[in-house]
Amino acid sequence: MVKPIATAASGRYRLAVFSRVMAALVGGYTLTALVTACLALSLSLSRVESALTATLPAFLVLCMAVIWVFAARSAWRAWYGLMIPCLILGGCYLWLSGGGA
Amino acid sequence: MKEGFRQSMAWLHTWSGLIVGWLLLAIFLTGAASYYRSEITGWMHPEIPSGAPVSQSQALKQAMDWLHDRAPVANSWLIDLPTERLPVTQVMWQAAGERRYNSELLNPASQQPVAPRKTFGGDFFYGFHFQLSLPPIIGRWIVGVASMLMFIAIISGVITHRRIFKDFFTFRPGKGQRSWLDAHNTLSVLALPFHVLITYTGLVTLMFMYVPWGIDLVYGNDRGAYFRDLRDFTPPAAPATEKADLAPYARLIEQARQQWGEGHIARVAIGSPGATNARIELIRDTQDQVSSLPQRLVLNGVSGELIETSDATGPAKAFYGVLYGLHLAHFAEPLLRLLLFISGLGGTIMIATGLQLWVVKRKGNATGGLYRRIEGLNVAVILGLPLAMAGFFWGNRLVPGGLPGREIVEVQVFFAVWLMTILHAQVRSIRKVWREQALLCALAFAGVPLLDLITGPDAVNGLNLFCVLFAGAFAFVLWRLCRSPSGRRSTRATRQIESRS
Amino acid sequence: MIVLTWAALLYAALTSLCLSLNRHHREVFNGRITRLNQRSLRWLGFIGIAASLACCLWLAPNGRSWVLWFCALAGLGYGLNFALAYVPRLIPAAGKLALGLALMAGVGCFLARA
Repeated sequence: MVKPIATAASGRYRLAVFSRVMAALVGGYTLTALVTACLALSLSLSRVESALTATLPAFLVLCMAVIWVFAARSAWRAWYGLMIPCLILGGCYLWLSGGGA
Repeated sequence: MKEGFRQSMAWLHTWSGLIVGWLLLAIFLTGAASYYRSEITGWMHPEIPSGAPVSQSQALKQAMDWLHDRAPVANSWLIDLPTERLPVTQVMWQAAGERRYNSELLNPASQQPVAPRKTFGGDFFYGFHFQLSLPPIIGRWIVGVASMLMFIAIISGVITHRRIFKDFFTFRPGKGQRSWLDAHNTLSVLALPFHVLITYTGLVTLMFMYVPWGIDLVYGNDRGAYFRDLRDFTPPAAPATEKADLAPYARLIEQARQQWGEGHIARVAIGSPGATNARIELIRDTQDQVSSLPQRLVLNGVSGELIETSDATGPAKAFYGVLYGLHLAHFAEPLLRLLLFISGLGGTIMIATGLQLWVVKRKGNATGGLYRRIEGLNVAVILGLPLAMAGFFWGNRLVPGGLPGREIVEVQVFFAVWLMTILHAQVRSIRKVWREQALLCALAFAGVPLLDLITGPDAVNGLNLFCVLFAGAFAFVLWRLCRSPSGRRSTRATRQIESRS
Repeated sequence: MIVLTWAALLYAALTSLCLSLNRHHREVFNGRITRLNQRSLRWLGFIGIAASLACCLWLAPNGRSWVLWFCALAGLGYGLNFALAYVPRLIPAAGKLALGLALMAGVGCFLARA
């Protein structure tokens, strides 16, 4: 199913852009936070090693999330592509922080 | 955005770069200047003698004697030994019961305090680079967001650039929009490793502020524990009541020499001097390692015996140290430092050409409107910021040395000049704006070494040479601007003339 | 001297790669490049780049040398670009001069070590 292409100035286009920007900001940052948190909780290295290893890749994750958001074929796909990993990682986080402690 | 991966990345590249373009230009330019932070500080303290550095042992003896006289009862002493780049000893002491440190600069050759004029020196550009002279949290967050957008712009730019290798050496000046694009492409592509690394490592230096979950989940509220783990640092105990003499300076020098060789102490930190539980830390310089985490020796303060060295390093800590070190480039000797500076300048011009390209593409032949405003802001950052930086140097020499609060006045001069260029760029006709600001830049930078000649010590100084070169560069820009009759865009006539020559 | 060896070699290699592109070959020599020339210039260029990196790392094997080499690549690339835009006729001569300098400096280094 091919969606009709919105013209540059149309309201629909602007809404789509806004939606993607929100996805990149909110969804991307949330995904980065969850990846970092899950890494931090699951790594069983020394404290300083865990903290560093969990945080160093964060900006790569965020960058890839943003690229996904703008490369996705529609704004909806952009959101789904972020929400699904977020839900999975969110579950992991709850399990790790609840069960592991 | 449905047109394909490359096109969507082109869209992302344009917008991510544009939103923070002006900010990034300022960050890049002050960052490039920060490579010469020590040299700028040296220039701005003309009272600091330049010249052959004394031996570390002499400087340490002088510092310890001075502190023993002036601050015998203190929580801790810090002594930064003179280096070739900044040949002055800095002593700091934390009086008993106080939290703040007092500091003094000592001239290692004459055994006297230096009493230089109060100025931020190179630290002003360095602080602006990551904090924009704003309150720490706000400034660092703004810089962080800009840096992240820069990183996204770089990655999307690489993805979208179709003929990246064929365009390596393509630069066709004098052809208007095409020239701006050529310059933008070639400046970014040739120094791509530098741009990618400097941006990512920049984000890494403040990563725990932007992405705190790693440290918060592992360390909870105890961030201090993280810093102690990172630096293998055990905090000293409170000073004991019994007094004992500190180990002699020669012993400290000898310990350092045995472990590290001659002349490698960067800082001596003495906890509880004069007490029986005094503890001395010798911190090595980091010029011959890439990592920014220095090696340390901990000695018993009274006997001078070695207690521990900093050895254990895990892979993540080592990697972090390397990334941090790559950003600071403290290991860069003069040639490499110059090349890094040139790369930083290249990045600055890359951003400038990007901003100008965007405006030129959309402005067409219109003389007013939104794009005229935007181009005015472009000039104010591309030419106005360097002018403000030159103004900062002028302020250092023209503001009286004894004036209280003069360091703030110097900063005010910087911002005042910048503000005036912003206003100037909006008010005058755009062609005149470019030429006038280029002229002012050329004159201002030419004036810096003259000022130094009149008001400063009789020393040949690297900064003066750089200013002469910059004056020449701005004069070249001015010449090119004056040659093309329609200002920034070349007409068919000039293109014909240029192709015939 | 050490730096001169691999830096001059790097510049010569970049010149070679640059001239292997038809667009730049036309700017400098006023004619299309032949396939044989193109291939040989490309090969020479890539080998020169690899040799330059190897030489740089062999003479000073530490992390700093990597940074130095990549920064030199950028700086020399900028210089070549500038020259190509404003004085294209001088490019081949400059490239050959760089190659000669590299060889002489290399011999000098070798003799200094031996």
